Amino acid sequence: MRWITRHKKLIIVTSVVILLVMVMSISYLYDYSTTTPVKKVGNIISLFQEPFVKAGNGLNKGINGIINFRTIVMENEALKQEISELEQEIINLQLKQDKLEELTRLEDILNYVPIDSHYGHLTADVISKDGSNWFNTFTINIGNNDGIKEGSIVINGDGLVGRIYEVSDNWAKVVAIIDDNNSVSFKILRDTKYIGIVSGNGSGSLEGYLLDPEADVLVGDEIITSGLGMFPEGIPIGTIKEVVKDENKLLKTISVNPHVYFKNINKVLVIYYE
Amino acid sequence: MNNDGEIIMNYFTVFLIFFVNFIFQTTVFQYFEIFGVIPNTTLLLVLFFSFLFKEKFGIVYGVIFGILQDVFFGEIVGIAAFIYFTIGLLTYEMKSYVYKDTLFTPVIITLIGGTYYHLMYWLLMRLFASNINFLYILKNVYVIEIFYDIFIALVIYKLLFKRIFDYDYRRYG
Repeated sequence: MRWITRHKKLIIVTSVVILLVMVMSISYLYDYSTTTPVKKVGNIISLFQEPFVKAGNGLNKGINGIINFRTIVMENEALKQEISELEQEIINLQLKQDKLEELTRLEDILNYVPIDSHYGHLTADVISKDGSNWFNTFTINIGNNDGIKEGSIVINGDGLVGRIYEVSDNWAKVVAIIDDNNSVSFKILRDTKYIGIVSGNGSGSLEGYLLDPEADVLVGDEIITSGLGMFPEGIPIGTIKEVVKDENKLLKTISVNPHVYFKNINKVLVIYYE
Repeated sequence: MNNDGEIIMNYFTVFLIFFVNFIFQTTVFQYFEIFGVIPNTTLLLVLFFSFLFKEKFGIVYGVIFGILQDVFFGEIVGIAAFIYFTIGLLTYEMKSYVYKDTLFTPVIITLIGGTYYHLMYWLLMRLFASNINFLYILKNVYVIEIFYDIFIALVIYKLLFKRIFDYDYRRYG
């Protein structure tokens, strides 16, 4: 008993360290291991975060608008130019659309069920971001209550953002593709018969390989999700920044610049499997 | 705060400070990014509260808010808590050997604390088989964050020192 009182400090420190090491090991061994009480605390905290991030967003927009008004005028003109070009493109696409409609009609006749029909989607606001600079993890303001599940896909206007790593009642944690060890299967937009796999390389971009070592890929090629695995087809991922042919492994490895700028995400779209 | 304008802290006040900091760090502070990096104010709070007060605020809330940070943003729960706990403890134990009344002190403490944080984080992430690139973190996070942290630390130290210790170090320095 005397020993315990004399070494009280040492005992407390050691037990806290052991406890934390245990927590780390458990959360490593079981992927989605956050317990319900901790998630409930998260529910409350996310209620506090949301108004601040909304106010911040509004203020940021206002201030940016005032500071950058000259750039905005220029951008406005550039956008008008782009609109007229896009309108031309719409007409071209309309022609293709007609063809597609005809094909869908034929599909209906053949009772063919398209894969895409099982996906639902929801928009979400980003409510908080990692404050320690190590990851591009962020939380969004929808959760279990809205029907999303772990592993749902997160995209924004630019392309693939990441996937839902953990879900609570009214918030969910999103891990960015560049931080993710899990792979995404892709295909080359220019020639969709070439497929491969990319994953985060731990240095802010993506790395992967093509299944066909003879595949004809170039720097600057656009890659999109292939639809194999959990990611639905056709989401833009990024552009190829480097192609290396590895003679030993008989593989063509590529590194990819993602389209999404992960530091500046405010709104996302969650695609979940129904 | 007592009559002389000196700041008296208790566990509840410090909890509120940590809590408000956590909310702000994850939301509003994100707009003050420099090259995508924001100051790690939780780390600064852990260091300061361990260093300047005789109570164990920094250590206790370091663990609690470390866990929270991991739950929200980390891939493995417990890493940040472990780091905040150990660095808080170290600062707490060595504070009697360090002069408090010079501006050199917050610089050194933040430098050591920040270096320890990133080094330990990297080591623990490696242990749990992450492929994070050390040089990437060094170049893109560590260097910028250390400077940013030291700047914030200096500002806080200058603003708060007199109110905590009830004398101005400049009179003696």
